Amino acid sequence: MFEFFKEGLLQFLSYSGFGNCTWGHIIMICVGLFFIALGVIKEFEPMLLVPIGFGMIIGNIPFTDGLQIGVYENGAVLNYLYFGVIKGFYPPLIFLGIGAMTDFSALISNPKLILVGAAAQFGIFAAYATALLLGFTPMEAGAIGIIGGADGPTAIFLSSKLAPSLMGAIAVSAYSYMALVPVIQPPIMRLLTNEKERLIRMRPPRAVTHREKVLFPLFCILLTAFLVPSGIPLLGMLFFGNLLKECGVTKRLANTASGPLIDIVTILIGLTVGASTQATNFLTPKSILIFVLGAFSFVVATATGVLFVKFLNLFLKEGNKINPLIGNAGVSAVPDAARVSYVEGMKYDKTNYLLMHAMGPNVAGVIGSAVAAGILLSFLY
Amino acid sequence: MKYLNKLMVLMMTLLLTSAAFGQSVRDLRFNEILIKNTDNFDDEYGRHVPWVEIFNTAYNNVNMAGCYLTDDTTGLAAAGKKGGEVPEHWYRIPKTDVHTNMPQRSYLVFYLDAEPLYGTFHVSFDPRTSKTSYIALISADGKDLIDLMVYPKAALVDSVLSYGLYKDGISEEAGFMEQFTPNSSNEVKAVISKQERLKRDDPYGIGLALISMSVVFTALILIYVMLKLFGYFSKRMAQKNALKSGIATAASSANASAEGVQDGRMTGEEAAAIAAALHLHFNSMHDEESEVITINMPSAHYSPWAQKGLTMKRTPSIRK
Repeated sequence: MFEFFKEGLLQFLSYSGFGNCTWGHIIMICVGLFFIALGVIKEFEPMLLVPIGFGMIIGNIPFTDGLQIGVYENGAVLNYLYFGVIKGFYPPLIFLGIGAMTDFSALISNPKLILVGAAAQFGIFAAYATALLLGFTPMEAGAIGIIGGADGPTAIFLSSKLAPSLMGAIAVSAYSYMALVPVIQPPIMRLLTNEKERLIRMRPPRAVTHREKVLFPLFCILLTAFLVPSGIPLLGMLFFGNLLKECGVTKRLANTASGPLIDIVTILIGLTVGASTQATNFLTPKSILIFVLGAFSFVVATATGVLFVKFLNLFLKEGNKINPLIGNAGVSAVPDAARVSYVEGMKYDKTNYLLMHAMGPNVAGVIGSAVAAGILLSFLY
Repeated sequence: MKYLNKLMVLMMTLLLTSAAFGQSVRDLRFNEILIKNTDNFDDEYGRHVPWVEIFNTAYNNVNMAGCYLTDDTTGLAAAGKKGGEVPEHWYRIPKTDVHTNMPQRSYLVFYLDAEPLYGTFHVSFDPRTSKTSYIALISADGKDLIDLMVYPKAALVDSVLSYGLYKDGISEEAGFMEQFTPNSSNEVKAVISKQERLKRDDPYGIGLALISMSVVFTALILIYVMLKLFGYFSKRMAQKNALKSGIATAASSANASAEGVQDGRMTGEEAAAIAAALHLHFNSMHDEESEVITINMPSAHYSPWAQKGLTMKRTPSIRK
């Protein structure tokens, strides 16, 4: 009787998390807890870091294979939820919501700011070239490079197509750096600008008519999608969402897209991406390299954005000049990057409100990174 | 309004036409044919018989059930006419076999053995005894010729080589194949993946970076030009509207100072003053309301969704 009891208990323990736990699992659970702490205490991108962090905990609780529990096991509930990540249909839905909540007025009123959003995409390709040098395949390098676009959904979309095996590391890296934008960007911005440049006051934006706002998504989708058809899933949804918002007759649809829909998809994408970081798949030298390359691409993207504004200023008349502190906002990461520009600007002049101006390159960065993802997809897929 | 209706009808017609000619059986192409089959691909009965491979060039499934395969298109014109009948010597692909639904960019082999009773993929004619030197695929209604492959029959009957398209689905380049590829791509020799090509031609990624950055800039410059035009036309329309409403004279007399207002710009101080005024105005309108104490029932905003009575199940009434 005692033997039976002992055997049963041992068998139960072998099925439990304690029986299957490794150091890898413990490390990843700690990373998950750290992400939650960052989100809750520091309020760095809590909407993303809290679901991802919790997903990491769920994904790294050890279990016995074959019970249809894990995110990689066919038939498991998490596997079904992860389907949207693998097949890449969550990111376009998030883009629909982003489009429905984005006001492109800043960009429409000052079109030259869109070029800053283009320049900041250089980080993607710098990371791509560096990843190739480090021995990654072109497809893997492309998926890693997109971290520099500072756009989580785009990174997930592209990596699900080009390098599904690296998707967990890429997604976590992209979201982590997006959350750390207030930490990463300011030193680079200060390093590349002088006191005089930081004090530049920009012209107030002109009023944008309703007609312009309605025409903007229509013209943009035609221009960009014809040039890069592979970007249609992201660009199409982005501009469709924006049209819903701006046309004024589909308020309910716009509210759903920018509210419940994007919230649901954010929960699902955050949780499943977090759960996909199972220690056995995630804790590899490649993942560490991806994190290093992600940081590198962020730094390059920020630097090129700031430097491009300085370059642009060479050709602009006095009074029309752009404050280079908004150059960092070209890396997408809406609206945190724009907020960083604003906070940095306020440090040098309490009356210089850069937020509205920084939103221009910020939303241009969203378009730019989606276009860049489309190009990479057409070249590498 | 009439023009709008006409435009909509035209667009719908174009849409339907394009859908009809879009990704359908029209995307099927003969890809490879082998007539002298001595020790090559065998059928499900282990026999070496002539075969032809069909390639679905579309990026979606195409079901070829009901279409016809033939080595003699005589009767095509007659079948196309109203009330015309489909010739008996055409082989009709059965509609009951799920395998006739070809996935995107896939291949399907038919055995040209004149043994249609052997199964779906065994046609009713044999090129070795055929009078013609072509094979044709005809639509299910017997009216349209989808594809026709003319092959050098004399050479093929004596050759162990197959004849096909050097590039899958591209009819312009055809000839004898160096390798048999039933149920797979004909582009055996030249296939280099995008990755391999990139690794070979652009090992450091500089080329891709330059091209991609150029495309990103081009896309965003196009948007920039578009936005500039938006601004220009918006300004023009504002001026036009101002002219219409008689403000134009005042605006022109104000010259440079009014220019800012015309194109929608105002100074920060002006904006701040207006915002402060609005803030004060709305706050002062609101100050008394919250202090009202009443014994009256608060009037909730009417909404049928909020009516509890409507959401509850009604007590059934008994008819007398």
